[in-house]
Amino acid sequence: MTTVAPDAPSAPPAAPGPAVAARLVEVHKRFPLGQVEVAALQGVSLDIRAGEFLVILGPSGSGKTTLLNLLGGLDAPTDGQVEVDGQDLGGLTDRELTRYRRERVGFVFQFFNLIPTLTAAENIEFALELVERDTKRVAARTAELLDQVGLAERADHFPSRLSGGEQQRVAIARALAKNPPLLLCDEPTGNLDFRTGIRVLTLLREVTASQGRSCVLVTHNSVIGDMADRVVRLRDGVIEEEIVHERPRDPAEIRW
Amino acid sequence: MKKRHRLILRGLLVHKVQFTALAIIVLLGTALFVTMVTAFDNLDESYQHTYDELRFADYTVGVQSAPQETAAAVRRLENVAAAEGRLVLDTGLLREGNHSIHVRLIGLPLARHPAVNDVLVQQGTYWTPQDRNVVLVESHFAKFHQLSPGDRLTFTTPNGEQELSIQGIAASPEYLINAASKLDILPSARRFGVFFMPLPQLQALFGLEGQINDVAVTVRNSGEREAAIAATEALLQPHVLTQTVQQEEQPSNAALQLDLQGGEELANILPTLVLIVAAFSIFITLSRMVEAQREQIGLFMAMGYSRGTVLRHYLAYAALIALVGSLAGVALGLWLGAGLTGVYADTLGIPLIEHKLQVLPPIMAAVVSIVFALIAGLVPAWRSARMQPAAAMRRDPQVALVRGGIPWAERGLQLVLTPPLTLRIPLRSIFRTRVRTLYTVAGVSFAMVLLLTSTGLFDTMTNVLDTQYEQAERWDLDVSLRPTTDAAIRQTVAAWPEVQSVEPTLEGFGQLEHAGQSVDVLVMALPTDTQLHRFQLPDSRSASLGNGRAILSLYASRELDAATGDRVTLMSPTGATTLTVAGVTRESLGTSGLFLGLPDAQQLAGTEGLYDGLLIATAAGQAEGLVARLYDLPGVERVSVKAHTVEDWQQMLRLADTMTRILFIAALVMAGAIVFNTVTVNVLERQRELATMRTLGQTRARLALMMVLENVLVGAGALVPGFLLGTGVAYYVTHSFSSDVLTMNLWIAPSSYAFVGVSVLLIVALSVLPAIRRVNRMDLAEVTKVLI
Repeated sequence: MTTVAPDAPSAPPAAPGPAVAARLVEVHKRFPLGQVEVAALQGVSLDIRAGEFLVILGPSGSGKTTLLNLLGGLDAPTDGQVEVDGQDLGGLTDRELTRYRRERVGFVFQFFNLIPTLTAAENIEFALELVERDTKRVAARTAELLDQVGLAERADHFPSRLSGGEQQRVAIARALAKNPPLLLCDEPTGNLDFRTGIRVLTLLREVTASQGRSCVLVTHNSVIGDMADRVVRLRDGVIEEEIVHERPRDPAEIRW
Repeated sequence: MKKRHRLILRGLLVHKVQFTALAIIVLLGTALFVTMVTAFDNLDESYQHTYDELRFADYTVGVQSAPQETAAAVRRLENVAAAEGRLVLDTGLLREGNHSIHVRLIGLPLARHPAVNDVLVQQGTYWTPQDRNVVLVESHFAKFHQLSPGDRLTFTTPNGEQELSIQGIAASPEYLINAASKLDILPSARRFGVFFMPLPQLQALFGLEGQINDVAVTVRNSGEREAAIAATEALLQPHVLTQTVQQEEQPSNAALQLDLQGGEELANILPTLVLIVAAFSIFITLSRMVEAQREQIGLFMAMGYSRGTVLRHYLAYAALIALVGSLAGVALGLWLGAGLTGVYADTLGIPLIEHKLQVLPPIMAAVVSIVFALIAGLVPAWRSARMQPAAAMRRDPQVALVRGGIPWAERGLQLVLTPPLTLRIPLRSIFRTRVRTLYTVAGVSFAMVLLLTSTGLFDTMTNVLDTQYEQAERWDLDVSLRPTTDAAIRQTVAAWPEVQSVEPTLEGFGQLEHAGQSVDVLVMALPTDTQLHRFQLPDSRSASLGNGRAILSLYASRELDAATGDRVTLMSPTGATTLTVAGVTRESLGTSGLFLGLPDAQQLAGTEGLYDGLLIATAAGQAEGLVARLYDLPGVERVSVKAHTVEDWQQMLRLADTMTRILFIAALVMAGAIVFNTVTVNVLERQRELATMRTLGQTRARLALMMVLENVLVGAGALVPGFLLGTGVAYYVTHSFSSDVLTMNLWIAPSSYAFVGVSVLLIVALSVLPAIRRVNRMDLAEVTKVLI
């Protein structure tokens, strides 16, 4: 484990090794909250490398979800730049942002956000059909993804008939459906029991490592940081600490 | 203010659009109720006030001729408050084109206003003893023929034509509806007018000096009216009694009561219908609101609020909707009611309008609205109070929407077609959220009920005229002849090149009896092979006249409980005869009728070859041009042009037409509010689902299209139940509007069904847009993170 000092605010860190999948440069985000303005992020600069499993830790209000939303194109920075694959998200139109979300990122939410009227398979298909018109290929890929998350038997079940862990695995499969290079997970285990949480984390780790995509996972739970390639700790909108794990732990080994 | 109450108010602010839409529905229901009830009460007050002010007779007794002093003897009878001796004579008024209009001349005191059946002079002045050759013209006639004081008119008298000057225009309690007789089913100033003149002048014009033929009486105590009538008749017996008419039977009053009765039934039924629809809308919206606020309910109970408190919370919400809606509705209703009273009074020609601030109808309307809203709110409120806190607080209430597997109907549909994603997702949602779909179908159906009821009333009224004058009456001109007319007139008219065919007719009145029931009928005798009157028989059956066979109007058939094949007895001035009912014609207007073959009628009258009218069919557009030529023929008393008769009916149906227009506007607004509410809830309760779809990369345009498609498809699914329910309610409402001169058989034009269907779907599509706009503006990050 290597502890790295927080980056200097004005200079993004050099990115040795693999290519940079996403980059935040001097990002500020301020929200109006009644009469006052809250600074959620204050000059954050960060590189996310291709194939990296990055965990962002921090207490409530530290800015971790804001950072995730900026990466997902769900929100825009007040100042600074958010680049994904060298493309500045701030310069994209609404239509281009929609296309970006459709093709470049996969989301996993704390509350799963499955569409309640669609079965497990249909939830995945819904995401797939945004990028793939061939129904046979859609069906085949859906089956493959369900198999990958261990839910082949539950394909025709509606979310109401799935457990929380199963719902989250469907959500992961849906996020992976488009084969995005960037996976963004917001407290994916926050609504799950320990055992289910571990299964979900294992799955996330697998799909990141085996397919060379980057995964940014935001959580309160500092133990989860042990499975990450890198941990970034945020406090009051600034990077307080950055830890690189040369040998991340197997998710199955961690306990909380 | 308790926090709980503040929560209700804040809830209203959050759902202000829905709250407003619901309040508007209650407002319209209440306003419609208050408007119609107060307008009718005002109208009732107005004509009662007119009757009181102008001392409307409790009864009149007609005699052949009596000395003027006889009235003083009647005045002295016990229980008689006042009596006025009058001369009432029917004659003709010559108009341009040399034709004569049937008019009634009434002689009134020279030096004072009459003590009974006074007139209200609206323009000009009552005469003085110095005035010579003057008349007051009754207001309906003056208005129709655009007469003013100073105009001169020529009347037919036994001493030749007499020119008189209009002294003024007056209203009379006897002619609030200017009906010539009780059987004048289509009173029209086109054909009949009333004139008042000094009694000595009228007596002189007709050579009846010192004579009267009518005594109008008011009584001191209405309970003893029968005794007063008997005493009056006994007193006048030596002068040959012709007819005694009690106030209820007086033609104008009877027609007015009939009009009011029909209108009053509608005035009760329509607002009740609207309030029922309002109650269902509140039920639907509150039910869905309770479902959407499960978490809040769970939280309430987890904090220790009792089930009773939760129940009261949602009931208070319903009550607040009703309170705001009904108070605004009462205010609007009182204002509109005053306006509608004016329209009614103008339509009916009631001269003295009495506006009374009525307390009971507004209170009743407000109470009924609030009770309806509370009943509607009770079920969802009760459901909310029965929730288990933990279940209510379950993290994702939406997941609970679908419990079973894929519906069979959807599986079946999947086998036959695989629509594109844009259609597939809406279809799935429709099949899989059955409660939501059902509520939407119900909401849209209710909106359709209101629209179909009002368009149904419109169409039925139009159809009544179409059936009568386009299908049944195939003539263009209807000519009445004087009894002495030369029978050759028929050949004369038939020889005119513009005339296509001529048929002789004979008209009279009689009483028809069957199975212990009897009904007054207008007897119309036609050639047995008549081509100018086509009977509207059910199932395209045919029936022929002649040889003792008669065709009954639907109304007469219902009144007598007589059907085809039954034998009925016709009592006429010349005797009784038994007839076989050959068919029942579904003609809607002038419904108390009996059709006979001309030979049968002539035999009954005892004069072979007799006829007193002609039906004439002309080449297109030639009818009006023949009127003057017909009046030039000797013996022609009256010529009716079909187009004018239709106009007269339209005038008569104005009251119903006004009410229908009010209902239609209210229905359109309410339908909009109901559908808007239903559809808005549909979209807003799925904010997170929609936000998720957008987060996954779905475009705004495609999502909007899917939402529009989903709601329009559900709306389309509501068309069948909406049409069925709407047609049923429209049938009930139009049926309640039928009277003995007007049979309302429901008719809704295919174009109206199309109009209602398209309007509803359009409202659905438009209603989705504001909600979609809101969804498009939502913060994706926040909505996907936070539970809604």
